[in-house]
Amino acid sequence: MTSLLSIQQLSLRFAGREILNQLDLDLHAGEVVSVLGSNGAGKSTLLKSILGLQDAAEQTGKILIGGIDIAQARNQALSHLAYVPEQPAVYGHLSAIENIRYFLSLGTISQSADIASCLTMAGLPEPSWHRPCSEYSKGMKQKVMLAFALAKQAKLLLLDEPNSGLDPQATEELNQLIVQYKESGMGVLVVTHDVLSAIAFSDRLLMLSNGQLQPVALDQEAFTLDSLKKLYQGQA
Amino acid sequence: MISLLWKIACNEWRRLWHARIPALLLLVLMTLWAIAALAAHHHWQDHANTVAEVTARSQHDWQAQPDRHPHRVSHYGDFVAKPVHPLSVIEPGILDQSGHLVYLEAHRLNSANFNPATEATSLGRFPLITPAMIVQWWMPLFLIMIAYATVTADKITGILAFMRGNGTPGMAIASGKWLALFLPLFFLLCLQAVLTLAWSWQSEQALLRLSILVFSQALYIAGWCLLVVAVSWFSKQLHGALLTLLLCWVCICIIFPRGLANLAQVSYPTQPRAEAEYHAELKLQSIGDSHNPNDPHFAAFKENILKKYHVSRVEDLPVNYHGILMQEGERLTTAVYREQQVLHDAQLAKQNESIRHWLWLTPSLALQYIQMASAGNDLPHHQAFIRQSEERRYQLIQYLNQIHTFKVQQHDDKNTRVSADFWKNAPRPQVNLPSIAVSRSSIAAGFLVLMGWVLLPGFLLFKVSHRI
Repeated sequence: MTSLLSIQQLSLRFAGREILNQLDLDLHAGEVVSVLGSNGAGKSTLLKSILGLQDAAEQTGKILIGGIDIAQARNQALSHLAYVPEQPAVYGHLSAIENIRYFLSLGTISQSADIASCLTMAGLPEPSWHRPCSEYSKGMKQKVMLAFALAKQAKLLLLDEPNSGLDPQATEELNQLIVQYKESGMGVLVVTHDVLSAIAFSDRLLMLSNGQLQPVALDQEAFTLDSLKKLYQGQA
Repeated sequence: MISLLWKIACNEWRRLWHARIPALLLLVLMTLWAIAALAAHHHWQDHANTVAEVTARSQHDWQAQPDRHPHRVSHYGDFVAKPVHPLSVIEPGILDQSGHLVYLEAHRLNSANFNPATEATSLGRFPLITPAMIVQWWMPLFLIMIAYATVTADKITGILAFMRGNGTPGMAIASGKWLALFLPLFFLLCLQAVLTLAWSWQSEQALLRLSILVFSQALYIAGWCLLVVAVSWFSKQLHGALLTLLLCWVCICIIFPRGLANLAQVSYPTQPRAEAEYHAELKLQSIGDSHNPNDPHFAAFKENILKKYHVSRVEDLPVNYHGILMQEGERLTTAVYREQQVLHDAQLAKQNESIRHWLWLTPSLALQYIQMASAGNDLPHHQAFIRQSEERRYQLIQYLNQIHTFKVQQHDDKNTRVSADFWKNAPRPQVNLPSIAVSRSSIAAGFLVLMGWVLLPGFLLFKVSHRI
């Protein structure tokens, strides 16, 4: 099976410090992989590398998205993925529909899905679609961004701290949405601190430690406060 | 790519409109501009009326002179008004300081006078707001206030990372934002140009002068827009972006231009007028005194004249010796005064040159040089006016001295009256606005600086736009 995302021997040095060290990762369609890691472990750097936003001179290795090398054809590779940053990035003066339409128009994709059906699937109530996003809660904004990912018809979804700042109900809704995306055949890579949510929706859990990804057992029972502390401290 | 930039620019306009304050600031800027244009037009009209009135009265009074002695005519004097280009409405330059009328008289080198700056009341000491000043100072300031957050806000809200991560090129975002800032201001510049051209197209080199003016203003504003986007992209906090840009504005528009002008004045001080006249007087005394029969220069001069006409006494000359003496005196005083003028011009040129060496520090001053040159109100244009006036004075006075020599009987010199027809036909060559070519070095230096001004922030933006 072809990987949606294939990272091969990725190393990255920044200011004399090795952030990523010969890191490998394969992510397939219909799979959710969560990456954990303490602050400064390099999670955001890993995402930036996948998005082709790192200085090529600082980085070695290969990243393929949908089989396309990001270093060779960035725009073509990025047309296969949707990236949702930690902060819900929507323009307050535009409505949900206008935001999605605007961001889609800036990309390189030739055709997109029906925005209304994407918003419905993302769980954003219809009466709010035409209201300016400045009136939205953070959870609603997050849903707009996930609807954008659907509208873009991306095969791969990158989520950076998706649960950050969400209340338990919104977190639960988001987790369910990620599972829905996975079931629709999308590959999802999540960078998060929320271990419990990650266990809920992930197929694999990886800990970024010393520049490499280490597998973590997906056993909710095994995670206690002590074991979590040890897990995070072990990489310090 | 163009449609991508256009979409980003349109969204930026919508965002600015939605934020209300930027739209309000733009409205204030346009109102200020309109006030400046009206005030400057009124000022120019006033000035043009004064010049026209003085020129007409001077012409009338000159023509109305009765039969009289030519030497009286030479001291009756003649007024010359500086031809003012209609673009002075946009940039009066040094016009108010340098003056625009010259009184021409025998044995005198009169500099321009009737300068409104020295006649202004204390209230009038506030500089007149001109459309050029709006572009040079206020437009960048308003631009900063409107757009300092243009990228920083997107950075803070994560929109920049989102756009970049979803495949929108950084340069496209930067260019789109730049376009959104530049296009409305460029439209205002073009509107100003069209309105100006509508009533000045018949004036000398109107299209050329206006094109140079608008092109330089567009480059200046384009550079500011690039700088605003670059600093906004570079800054992590909104207040950081605002403070950095305000610091740039203060340095570029206030500190550097003022500092350079003061430094030039201190390094190359100009001779005060009284001192120049004193030196000229000393020089004239050293050459000779025509009233002293024992003066070696004038004794030799007299000998030469007598020899030329083959006579032994002044009384036997077939021409009026006093007229000849007047011609020689005028030649000598003119040479000395012109020497002083050349010295004064050289001092001013040195000041200008020293400023020009440091012009790269401040595109604001570079723009001012070009604006003043385009409007015909810079130093080279003023010096050309003074030279033309002086040439007219010299031709006129020597013509009168010739009439004195050949038409006034020597034995009855003081009582002789010469026909008024002579003054009516006296050579009074018209003083014209010189070609803009007189300011070519200022314009070239200014454009060089403005090119750098666009390239530097452009390069900076190119570098930072690869970051998130």
